[in-house]
Amino acid sequence: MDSQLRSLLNVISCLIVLCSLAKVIQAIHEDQIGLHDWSLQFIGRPIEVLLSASQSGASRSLVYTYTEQNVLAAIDVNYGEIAWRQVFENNANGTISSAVTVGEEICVLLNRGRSLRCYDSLTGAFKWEKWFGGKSGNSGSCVGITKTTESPKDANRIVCANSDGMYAVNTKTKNTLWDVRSPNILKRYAFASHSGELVVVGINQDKLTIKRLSSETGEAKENDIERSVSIDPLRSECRLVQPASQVSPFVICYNAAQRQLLSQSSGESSREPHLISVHELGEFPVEGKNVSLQNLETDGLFSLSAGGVSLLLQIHPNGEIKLVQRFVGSVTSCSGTEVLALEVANKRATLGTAAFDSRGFTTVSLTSEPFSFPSAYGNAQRAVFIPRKDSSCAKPSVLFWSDSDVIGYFTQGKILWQRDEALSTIETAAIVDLPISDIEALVEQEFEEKGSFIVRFTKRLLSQALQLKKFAEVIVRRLQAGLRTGKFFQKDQLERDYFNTHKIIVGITGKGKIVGMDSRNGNILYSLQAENLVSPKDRPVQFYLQRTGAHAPFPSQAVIVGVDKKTGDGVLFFFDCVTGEELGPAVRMNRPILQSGLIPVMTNDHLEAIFVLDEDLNVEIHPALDSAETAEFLTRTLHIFYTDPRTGVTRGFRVKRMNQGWKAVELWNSTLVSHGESVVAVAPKRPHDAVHSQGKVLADRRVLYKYINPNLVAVVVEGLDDVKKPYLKMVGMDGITGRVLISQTYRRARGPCQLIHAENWLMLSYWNEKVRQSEINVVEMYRGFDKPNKTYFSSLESHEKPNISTASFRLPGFVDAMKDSVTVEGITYKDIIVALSSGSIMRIPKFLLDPRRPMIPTQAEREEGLIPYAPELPMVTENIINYYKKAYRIRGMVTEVAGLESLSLVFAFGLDLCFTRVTPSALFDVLSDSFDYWILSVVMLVLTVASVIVRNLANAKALKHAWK
Amino acid sequence: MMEYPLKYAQICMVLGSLFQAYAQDIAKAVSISHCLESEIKLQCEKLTEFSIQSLRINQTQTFSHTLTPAERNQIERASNKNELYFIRAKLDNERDSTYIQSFCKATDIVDSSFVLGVILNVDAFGRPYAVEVGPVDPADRRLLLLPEEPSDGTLLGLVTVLGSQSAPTPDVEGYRKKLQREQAEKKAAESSDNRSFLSKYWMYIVPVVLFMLFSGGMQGGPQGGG
Amino acid sequence: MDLLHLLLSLTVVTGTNFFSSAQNVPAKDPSPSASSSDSDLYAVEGKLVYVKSHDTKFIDGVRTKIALDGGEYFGFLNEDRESFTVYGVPPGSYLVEVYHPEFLFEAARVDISSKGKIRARRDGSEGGAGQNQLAYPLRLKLQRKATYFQAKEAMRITDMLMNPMVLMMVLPLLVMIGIPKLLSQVDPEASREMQSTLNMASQPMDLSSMMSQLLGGGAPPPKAIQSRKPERRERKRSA
Repeated sequence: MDSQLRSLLNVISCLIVLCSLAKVIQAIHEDQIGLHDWSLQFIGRPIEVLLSASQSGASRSLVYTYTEQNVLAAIDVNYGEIAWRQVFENNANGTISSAVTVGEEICVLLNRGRSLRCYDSLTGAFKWEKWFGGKSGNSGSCVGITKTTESPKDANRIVCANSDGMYAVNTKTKNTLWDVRSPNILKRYAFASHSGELVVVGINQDKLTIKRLSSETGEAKENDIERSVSIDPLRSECRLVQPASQVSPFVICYNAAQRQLLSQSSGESSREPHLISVHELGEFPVEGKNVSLQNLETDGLFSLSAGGVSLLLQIHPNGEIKLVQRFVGSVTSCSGTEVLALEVANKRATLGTAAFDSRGFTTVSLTSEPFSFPSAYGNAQRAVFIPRKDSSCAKPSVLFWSDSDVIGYFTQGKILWQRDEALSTIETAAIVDLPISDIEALVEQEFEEKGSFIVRFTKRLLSQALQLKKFAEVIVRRLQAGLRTGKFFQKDQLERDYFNTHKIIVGITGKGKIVGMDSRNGNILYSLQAENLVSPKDRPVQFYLQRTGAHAPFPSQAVIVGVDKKTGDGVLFFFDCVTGEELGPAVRMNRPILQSGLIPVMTNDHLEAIFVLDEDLNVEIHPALDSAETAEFLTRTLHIFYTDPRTGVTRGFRVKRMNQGWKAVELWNSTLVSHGESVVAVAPKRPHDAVHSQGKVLADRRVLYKYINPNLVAVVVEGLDDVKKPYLKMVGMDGITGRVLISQTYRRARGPCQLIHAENWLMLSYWNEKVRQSEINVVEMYRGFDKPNKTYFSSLESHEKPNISTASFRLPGFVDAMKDSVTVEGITYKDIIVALSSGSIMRIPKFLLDPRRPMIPTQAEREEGLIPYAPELPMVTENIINYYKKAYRIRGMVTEVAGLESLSLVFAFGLDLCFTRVTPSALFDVLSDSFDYWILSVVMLVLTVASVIVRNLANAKALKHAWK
Repeated sequence: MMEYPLKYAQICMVLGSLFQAYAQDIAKAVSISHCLESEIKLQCEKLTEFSIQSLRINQTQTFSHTLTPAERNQIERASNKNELYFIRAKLDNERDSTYIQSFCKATDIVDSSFVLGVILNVDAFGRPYAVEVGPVDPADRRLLLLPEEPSDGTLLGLVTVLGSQSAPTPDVEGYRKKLQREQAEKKAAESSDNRSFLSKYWMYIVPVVLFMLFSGGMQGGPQGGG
Repeated sequence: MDLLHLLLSLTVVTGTNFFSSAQNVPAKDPSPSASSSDSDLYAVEGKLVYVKSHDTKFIDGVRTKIALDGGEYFGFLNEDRESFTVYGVPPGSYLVEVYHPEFLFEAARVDISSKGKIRARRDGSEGGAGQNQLAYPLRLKLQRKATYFQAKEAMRITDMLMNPMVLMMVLPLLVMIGIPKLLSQVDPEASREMQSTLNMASQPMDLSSMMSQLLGGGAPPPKAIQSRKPERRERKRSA
């Protein structure tokens, strides 16, 4: 009996658990892929572009590139799409120093020159890897040598040189043919001269070494050439240039420390190096960072470029370097005797060729009409000639990229495609509403409550007449457009749709580039560059929406807060986030900015003001609010919270009006960081965090009230304890009074951490050093069972401390970014969206991350619906919201409300972009897509017909029966 | 109403250093002062000093400070004007510009008859990093520690030191034990139910038998009659 | 006073959001780490265990990546589509995962001692001992194909028919209509009997009459009106 009851209870509890777990598993249907979500993949800014070794077959239209973001990719030049890409490690292990195409493969040298990985050029499949090992050096370089004879000893090989030595690998058998160990060189280059000799250049802080080896055996043919020069190996570049066919090649190095070009003959060991300062050659932005030295096919020519300026230089057989021409743009070879120059001037670019022979240099002749090169592209960094069937020096096909991360392909006289790789460097993003349509604006106006009732009545009638007129206009316009293009029902303007799910995604990169994307498909609607604005060193650019699109005739204004590129002082840039136009001049301050934020005071045109706190504790407000009552309001209510990331000093300020300006007065002060610690994350709540219920209803009908403090700010600090083990500390303080409400220490834990703060809980994901796994700690705050007798919260009056309830869970994977979903009213459950390093973005329902989950549930807890505690969070693949697509290296996520209560929009940015929607409680407020109208109507029809027929039959039968 | 638990014992503290310049300095004492609002810089007056050694976590110390009539008037005026009352703590090895500070409404102080409830938060190294001040509820048990009764002439203070909680780790052991226990229970349940078939299911067999008897009886009855 | 408190509660609190330490940014080594006491680096080897078939044809070198500690070190699948090696791993404890868009493989934990001894153990906290030793070189089994979608809930006729309410109503109906018809074709006497029992069932049943029937076995007390109809029918049929 007892056991039966127990088993019955078990069955019931299992059912309850299953039912509650049923909420856990919820995914889209297979035919809904791409309906409401999209994802874009990027590669980053190219370092080098290589052409396929075999110019035949399907790989003809592919060019290969490796980028600053540690990505190796193949781009199809016909369409500008990524044919395949391989994303390597996000640290120095995956940094690519050099790439070589040999046969059907492309090989990259990674990991500080220690690892060679080869991939199939057509498909990107991994072929083989060679580990050279050695001490962790700096970088290396490889050169591919194709076999010249048919003898069995000769084979295609790759020779790589890194800080430890030189290695030659047979690409067919993957064996090491020979290796020469020669450590203690900081940087090495391997070059193959025209005569087939291998020239290896090694640079140390004070020495330049040139070795000449046989590429078959690795033996040194002659003695090394050593020269003492003062050179900075890490910022310098070297190349091998042959001045003329019978002259031994010269090694030319750009010495960044001395801003000089150095040339040393590799053949004649007695010659001294020639040094020439770049300054003497021509006007060149030497402080530019990406200085690159490139060979050209023509003997003796090479180019030095940086900051959009290229110097075409020639080396003479005696070692002297002379300037041939200076270009604003980039220069490359298109054939053995001609060079191709891409010149940019006044936002237009031209391509020209110039022939070069022993007599000299003929002037550049234009090959194309000027094509537009907008300022959003920045400076042209490199151009590469793509030799194809229809491409020649006269009608070139050129792949170029700019320092603003735009890759473009120019062919047949126009730019065929361009890729904006700046989208892979987005640091801050926001999802903004579209403006309401004119008709909606009129509807809003209709209900303004100003004036007597007659006035309002007439206003309503007028407004409705206007609405009718506008509606008719819209219909006529759509008909006309439809007749013209054949597409009716097409929205021509950007307006809110019925459920407010169509939004604009604004992405801001660290270099001040602002991109607006359509949330339906990821198309770029606008792209603008804020001049001279970059992100501050310790945080990303801040974005604030001053006016939403709900106030229709006024533009939807947003402001970004960054610093000046040169001076580091604060800069405010105002723009319309729907159309991308700059609104008004940028405000340039003369001090660095500490803190900025929005003030909930609206001007007459519905603009929320923004305040900026600078280093001298001056507060500026834009637009200036001068009225006495706003001044009074601000003095009483504006409190600013600021944590200095360097010193960890956290302060709270109030503002005071002083001499026509505002000054910040310190109210409280804490030092959260002591010696050796650093601030890792700061998280306030969202400004309009909607909490729908005041507490949780327990099984015995008591209410456990939540402690909701809208002024709570959580700060996470990382440090080393006295036994040198890392630890994290989370401090939750009231932002207005500085009172510490939560103080938790995580032993043996370290970052990277992600912190979420919403409603009455905090979540921190961190790395547990002891068990070496990712964990999430949830902290919930309750105030007990006493009903609070106030409906608002005041930090000054509240002296109580919350009851803290906390638990930790293990995560199946490594967290790159984490965010909670938001909805309009806050009724829907919350989902925690986690971007894992495996490329999947997973959603975890909040009720799995509940500290009150009991180990052994009692009857009351089971009734309440609490799931029993399990230390691991389940990895449910149905909860992966980007299904089989992968989004790597997610840097951050933004979640936003939509018009529907059950929907939350999610945008993840990083190397890849991904936008999707999440329905944490299933789509409860609209009819779902899988609602089968067809079968339902058929069944209804059949039942109706059947009931009519049967009724007739029954009547007939009854009649017949009555006649008996 | 203060909702955190209170324990009474000795308070002790060990300090680390705050800034590079004072890298090897260990603070020996923390001084507490109170300030009232005036222009930009606050005018602070020292109330008391505690030695770091004497600060122990979760324990309360007291101090008393005689209020001059001028001071009392200042506080009462601040309370009438709805101004704020600040408290500042400073470590003796720091520069004057380094301190921790917090505030509350001046009316709170006056309403609680000049009894201050001060909380010092210390980190894992025992160094105070935040301070807090507020009124003391008349029902608070810490008031029993006060050496004298609250009066208009003295400012009494209760200084409690709070530390940091240790965050929990996933309870893997407990979960494993629970699973083992459940498995054992399941095994026991399976093996213990070995009574006879009839004695287990008599509840279901008897009504079926009765039903069959009745229906047989009914059929038999009318057939016999008709 | 209250208004003041109300306004005070509308205060604006802002905070700064930092990125965590530069682990999210591709770090380029700015200085040669010649001073890094480079312990020796080892290679982690292993094999993926699965049945090579048409369904698993996409486990190849393009889509598969083996990651140590979430991407600190990567290894790729060799041309035999089974074995992999991760090079350049310093001593420590690492989680080995297989990243593939379609399939889930089991994960393992690998400990590399400072002398270079590599041990593998099972990763996880559930069930038995968490320190189960695994074979090294690793053998990672294919667990399952990842399902990302939910099957659509289509409305099917069977759903309607299998509804217990429908079954409870429809089946007895069919039985009541169908069986007499069948029987009447087979055996007219049996059908008459069925008719009589049905008529019996339609009589009002009270406890006393039922009990007397059961125990006495006599004829039921005739009800004048009702008994005429079946008699009439019976007479008609027999006539």
